[in-house]
Amino acid sequence: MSKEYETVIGLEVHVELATKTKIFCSCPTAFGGAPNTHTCPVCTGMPGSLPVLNKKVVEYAIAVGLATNCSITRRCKFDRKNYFYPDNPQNYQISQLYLPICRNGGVEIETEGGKKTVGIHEIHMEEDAGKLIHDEWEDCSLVDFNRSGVPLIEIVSDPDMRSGEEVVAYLEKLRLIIQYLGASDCKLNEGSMRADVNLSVREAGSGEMGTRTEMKNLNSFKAIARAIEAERARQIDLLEEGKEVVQETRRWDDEKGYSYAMRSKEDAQDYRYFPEPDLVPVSISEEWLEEIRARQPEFRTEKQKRYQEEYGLPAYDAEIITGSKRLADLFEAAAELCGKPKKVSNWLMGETMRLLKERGMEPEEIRFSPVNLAKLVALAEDGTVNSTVAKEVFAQVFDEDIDPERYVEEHGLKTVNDEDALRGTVEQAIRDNPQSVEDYRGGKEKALGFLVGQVMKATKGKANPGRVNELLKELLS
Amino acid sequence: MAANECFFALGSDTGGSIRQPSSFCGVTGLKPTYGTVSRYGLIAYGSSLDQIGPVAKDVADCAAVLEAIASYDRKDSTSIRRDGLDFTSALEDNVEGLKIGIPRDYLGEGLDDEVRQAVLAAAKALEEKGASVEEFELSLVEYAIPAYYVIACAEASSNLARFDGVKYGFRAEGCEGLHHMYKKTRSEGFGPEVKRRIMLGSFVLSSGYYDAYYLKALRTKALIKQSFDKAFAKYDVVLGPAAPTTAPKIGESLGDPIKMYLGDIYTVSVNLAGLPAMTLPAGLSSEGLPIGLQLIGDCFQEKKILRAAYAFEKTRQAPESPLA
Repeated sequence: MSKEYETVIGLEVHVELATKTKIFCSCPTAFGGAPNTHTCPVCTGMPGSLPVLNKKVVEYAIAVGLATNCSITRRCKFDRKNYFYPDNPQNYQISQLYLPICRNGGVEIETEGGKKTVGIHEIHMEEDAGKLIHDEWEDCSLVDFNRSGVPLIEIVSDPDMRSGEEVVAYLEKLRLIIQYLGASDCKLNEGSMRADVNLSVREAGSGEMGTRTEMKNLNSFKAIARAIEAERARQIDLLEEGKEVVQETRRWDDEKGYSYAMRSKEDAQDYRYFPEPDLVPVSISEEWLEEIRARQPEFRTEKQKRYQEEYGLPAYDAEIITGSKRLADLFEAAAELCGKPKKVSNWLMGETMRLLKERGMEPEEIRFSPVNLAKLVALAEDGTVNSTVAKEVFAQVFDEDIDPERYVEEHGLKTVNDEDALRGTVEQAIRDNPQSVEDYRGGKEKALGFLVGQVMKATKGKANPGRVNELLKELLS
Repeated sequence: MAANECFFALGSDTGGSIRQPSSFCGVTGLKPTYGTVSRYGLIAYGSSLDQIGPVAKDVADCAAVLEAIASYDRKDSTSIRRDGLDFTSALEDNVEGLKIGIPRDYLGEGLDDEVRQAVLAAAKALEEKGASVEEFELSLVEYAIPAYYVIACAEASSNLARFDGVKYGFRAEGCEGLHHMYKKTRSEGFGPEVKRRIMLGSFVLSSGYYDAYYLKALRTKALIKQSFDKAFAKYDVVLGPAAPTTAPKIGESLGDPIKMYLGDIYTVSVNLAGLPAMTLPAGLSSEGLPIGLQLIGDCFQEKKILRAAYAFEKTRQAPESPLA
C-alpha cells in the first residue's frame, strides 16, 4: 500500500424496546409464543384497523435521547415508509423521517487512542416486521406476525468513527446506557440490538468523503470488528487498483469472513415516505419531559464515583463492576443485604469473573441472585465455611443459584471448630506420619504443609487451615 | 335510500361520497367534522379526509343517526373528544339572525343554470325566514381539486397496498414467485379507476416529486382551511351547490375522468378543511332529476347547518324521491 487511508464509519443501531405491549396495539411483545398468537387486527394489517401509539415507547425513546445528550423534538411526527414485502402486513412501516423524536446528540467514548465524542444524528421510533419462515419441504413460505409491531428505536450516528475499536466502544457505551435505563436488554446475538455499519475510506487528510457501503447481518462485537477490517481492506484494494467503490448494501458472512453485495444504489427502493395520517403529532410537554428526566437512573460515571466514595472500592473494581448493569445491580443488592460491599466486590471481581471466563459467558448472562451471594459472603466471613469450601459453594451458586446456607447444612460443609476433636485429628496425623514429623523437625518447612493437607483430608476440608497450622506447630515444638 | 329500501344508510365521505350521491338522488346526507365519528373498522381510502356520516330521508333522521354514531373512540387516534353531541336539539324551524354566505366562486363557470337557480332560490327562502344572506369571495376554489386528488391518491396508494393477495381477499391464479403474485393479483383485483389513483398517488410521493406535488398540496390544504376560517369569522353557514350538475348517466362519468374529478369541485374543499357539511334536496331539474343544496359549517358547528337545513326543509313540500 503506497498511500495512507482513513476509515470513516457511521452506525445505524436498531434497539428493540422492553415494553410489555407492542407499539401500536396491546398485543404482548413476549418471545416464544406459537406463531401468530401474539397478534390482532392492528399488527396483522387488517382492513379497518388503526394504530394507537404506546406512550411507554415515547418515554423510552426520550429517556435514551436524554441520556445521549440529544435535543427532544417537542412536536414529533410519524411517517409511512412504503415497500412491499410479506413480513410487513400493511406493506408500509410506520416510522419517523421528517421529525424524529431525538436529534443532535452524542456520547463520549474512550479507546486506547484517547477520548472522543461520537455524534448522534437522530433517534427515531418505528415498528418491527414479522418473520418469514421458508419451509424447505413445502412449496410455500409462512409468515409469523408475533414480532410485527414490536417497538424499535433506530439510533443514527454521525460518521465520526475511524476504527473498529471505536465502533465497539460506541456500541458498548450505547448498550450500557440503554441497559441502565431498562429500555432494552440489547442482545446482539438475539437481535434485540442490531447494528448496520456504513463505511467508506479516503486518503488521509482528505476533506471529502469516499463512497460508502452499508454492512448488515452483524451479530456480535467480534463480527462487527472483523467485518469492518475486511470492508476497509476491500475498499482500499479497489482504490489501489484504480477501481471505484460502488454504493451498495452488503451482507456479512461471519463464518466465511467475507461480505457479498445485496443491492446497489440503483436498486434502492423509493420508500415514498409521507406523514402517517392515522396518528396525530406527539406533543411532549415540559412537565412530561421533567418527569422522565427525574426518573433517569444513575449512569456509569456517577456509579463509579459513588462506589469508590461510599463503599471504598478500588477505582479498577468500580470500573469493572459498573461496566455491566447486571454486575452493578448484583453488587448493590448483595452489598445492601450483607453489609460487606468490599467482600461482595471481591467475589464479583475474583470468582465470578473466573467462572464467566471458564464458562464462556457474558456478565449479562449471570443467573444467580444477590440474596444467595450475600448469604455466601456471610458464611465465609463468620467462619462457618473456610475459603476453599466457600469457593466450592460459590460455584454451585453461580451455576444453579442454590441457597448456600441450606447447601452447606445438607452437605455437612461447616468448618470444624470443635477444638478438642480437631486437636485429636492433628495428633492422629502426627502419629500416622512419623517421616514427615522428622523432616519438619529437621528443618524442612514443606513437611508441615503435607501434614496440614492430611488433617484437611481427614476432616473432608471442613477444618480451618489456619488453625490446623497453629495446632501442628504447637504440638511439634 | 332513494328507493325507500332502508331507514338510513352510512356513507364514508373522502371528497363528497356522502353529499354528492345524496344530491343526485334527492336524499339528505351529512358529513360531520373530521374526528367526530370513529374510523375504526372503516376500510381506509384517504385517511386524513375520510369521515363517516348518515344518509337519510330528511334532516331530522340525519341528526338522530349522527347523535347515535358520534363519539370519542380511543381506537382511532384522530377521534376528537367533544361536547354537544345532542344534534337533534338543533332541529328548530328558526333561522332568525343566522348569517349565511354564498361564495361567488361557487356560482361561476361550469355550474348548470338550473342548479344555480335552485341554490339561489333556497337562499332566498332562508332570507325570507329571517336569515341574512350575502355573496362573498371564498378564493382558492380552483386549487381544491388538484390538492385533493394529490392528497387522497397519495394516501390511497398506501392504504390499498395491503390488498396484495398475501393475507386475505383475492389472489390471482397461476403466479410464479412473490413479485409476479403481487403484480398479477393487483392488476386483476383492482378496477381501472382505482389503479389510476394508485399510480397517481405513488407518483406524487416519489422521490424528486414529493416537494413539487405532495408538499405543495399540503400547503394548499392549509391555505384553503384559512380561507374558510376567514369566511366563518363572518358567517354561520356557507351555502352553495353540492355538484355542478344533476346526476350523470350510468357509465358516463368514468369515461371522462377529468370531467368526473371536476364534478367534485364544491365538495372536496370541505374534506380538506375538515369541516361539517350536508346536502339536501332543493328541487328537480327540467328533466326531473334532483338538485342538491349544500350547507357548510365551521368545525364542530353541525348544529348550525342542521338548523338552517331544517328550516329550509320546512319551506318545501315533503321531498319526493324520483323512484317513489
